[in-house]
Amino acid sequence: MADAAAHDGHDHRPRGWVRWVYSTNHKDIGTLYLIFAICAGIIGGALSVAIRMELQEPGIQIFSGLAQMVYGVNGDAAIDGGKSMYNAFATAHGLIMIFFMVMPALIGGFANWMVPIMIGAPDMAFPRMNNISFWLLPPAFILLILSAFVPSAPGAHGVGGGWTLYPPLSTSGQPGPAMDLAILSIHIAGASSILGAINFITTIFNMRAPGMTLHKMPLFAWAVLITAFLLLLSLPVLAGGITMLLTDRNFGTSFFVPDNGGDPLLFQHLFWFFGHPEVYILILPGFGIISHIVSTFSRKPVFGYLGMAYAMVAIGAVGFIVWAHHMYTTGLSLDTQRYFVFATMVIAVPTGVKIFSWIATMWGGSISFKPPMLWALGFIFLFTVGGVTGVQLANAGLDRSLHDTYYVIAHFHYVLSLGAVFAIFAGWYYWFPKMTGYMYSPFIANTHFWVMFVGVNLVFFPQHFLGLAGMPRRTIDYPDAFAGWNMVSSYGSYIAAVGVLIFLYGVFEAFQKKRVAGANPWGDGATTLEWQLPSPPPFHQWEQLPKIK
Amino acid sequence: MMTMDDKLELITLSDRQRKARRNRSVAIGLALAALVIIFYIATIVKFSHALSGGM
Repeated sequence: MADAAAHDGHDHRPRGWVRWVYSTNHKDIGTLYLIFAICAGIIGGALSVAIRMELQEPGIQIFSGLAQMVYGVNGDAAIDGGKSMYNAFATAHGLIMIFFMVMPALIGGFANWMVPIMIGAPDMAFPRMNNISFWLLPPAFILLILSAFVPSAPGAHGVGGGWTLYPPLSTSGQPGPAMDLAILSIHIAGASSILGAINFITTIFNMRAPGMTLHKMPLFAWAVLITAFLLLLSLPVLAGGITMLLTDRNFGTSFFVPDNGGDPLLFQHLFWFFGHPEVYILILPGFGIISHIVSTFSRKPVFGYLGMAYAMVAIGAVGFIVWAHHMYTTGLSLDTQRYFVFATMVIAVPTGVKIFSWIATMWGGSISFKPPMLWALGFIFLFTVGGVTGVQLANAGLDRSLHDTYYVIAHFHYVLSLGAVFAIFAGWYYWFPKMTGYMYSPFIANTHFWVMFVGVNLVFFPQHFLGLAGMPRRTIDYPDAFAGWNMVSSYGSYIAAVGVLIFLYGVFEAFQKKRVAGANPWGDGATTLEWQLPSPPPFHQWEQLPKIK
Repeated sequence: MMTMDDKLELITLSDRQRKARRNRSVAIGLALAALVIIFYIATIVKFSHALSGGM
């Protein structure tokens, strides 16, 4: 079947650099996205390890030394330089991981690779636009990296106001060109994502194989469809907001300048109208991946398929009307706070539907704990922990004391760093044999899982305690009372970094050993269309469309 | 969710069907792009009440 479904005799592919730079092939572009995400993830991860090195002990040691080396300053100037460099590292870490690691990996990488194959399409609807979507990302990333080396606030380099870019710190607070470069970077990355979203929606609506109704579509394709709509609706608002930031900075407008009738809080509303759907943009594709893996390795169809699909629709829809729960401490009226508390808590319902459906899928199944399943189980556990602390933080009253503390850091890293990233690794180990044709070493993959699992939990679980004790985020130093858990957290980050090295070695080893994976290494449980093709799939697939019954 | 048969029935689209599919894609893509532009402009116009004060 695999050979028959493959497209015979027309496997003409461009050679050399032309194949990659001019590529209009969804699989090649997906590969480019995945490589880009790995590179960006290593850089963003290195920034976080530097942050944890600084926070390992009270006092300012690492970044003041870095400032000494980079800026050639000493004494108090080195300490001040170190503080601003720390802020720049934290800001860059957030922006890189969100815009240049998780989104490119899940949407650009896995969705590009798998959605056309899964829905029985020969390619994306707009292959050349797909190429542009990818090639906008490297210049955007370069602009962000460049911003770290140019002035921002007086005496400082790099954007240090946090990934949220709140004014006035992003306007009058940092008059240097660093902020302009960062805003331009986000504009370009956003344009890339919008083009990608248009492409995915069109592809999924118009390119499905005959007989594949929306209600027969694989859950990963559902997840990507909903994610693409979230991108389409939220990114233009962010673009509008940061355009206003740019004009406030450079053309004398006063959208966010209170002296001239503007309102800094307006930016927060615009930002979070994008920012909250963004967290679902980061996690929904992961939900889709996890559904496939749990079903495959339980050898059962996913429990409650329609419920799973419409739970994602509900999460996406409700995700648009909860943004101000990030702003409880900005002076919202009590009635407004009550609304946002209630609306936020409602999201726990469809999310619970998904978690219980994954458990019900496993229930009575013939479970095999192969590496993708291990990562999927890790995802379910860690995402649930992060979800539970999210319900706590949804309470405006509780958020009074927890806002901007390490409790929030722990919460969103459990859903994103441990949730989305575990979903990325789950997808990687699930589809790596399909994408490359080679099987990795299960021993290395399992070791990678356990080292990462221990590492990231050591990083982030103690941060709950630090947050409850009142340790604020975005500070380079802290009182001695917080030293113990900070040390544990930092050791955890080193362990997680070792996990990343194991991952990279596993990739190298798989390509070196070249163990042939076969069309479907996962057996009867893997039922979606990609497993009907050889591994790796032919350069062009489904030129004859599969008819779905 | 669909399940796979061992034997997939394969269909070849006619040129006319391919062209119709392409035209539908372009129409959907343009409509979505128009939505993006509308949301972008609406965001700025809706909140431009502060613009005159600073200019």
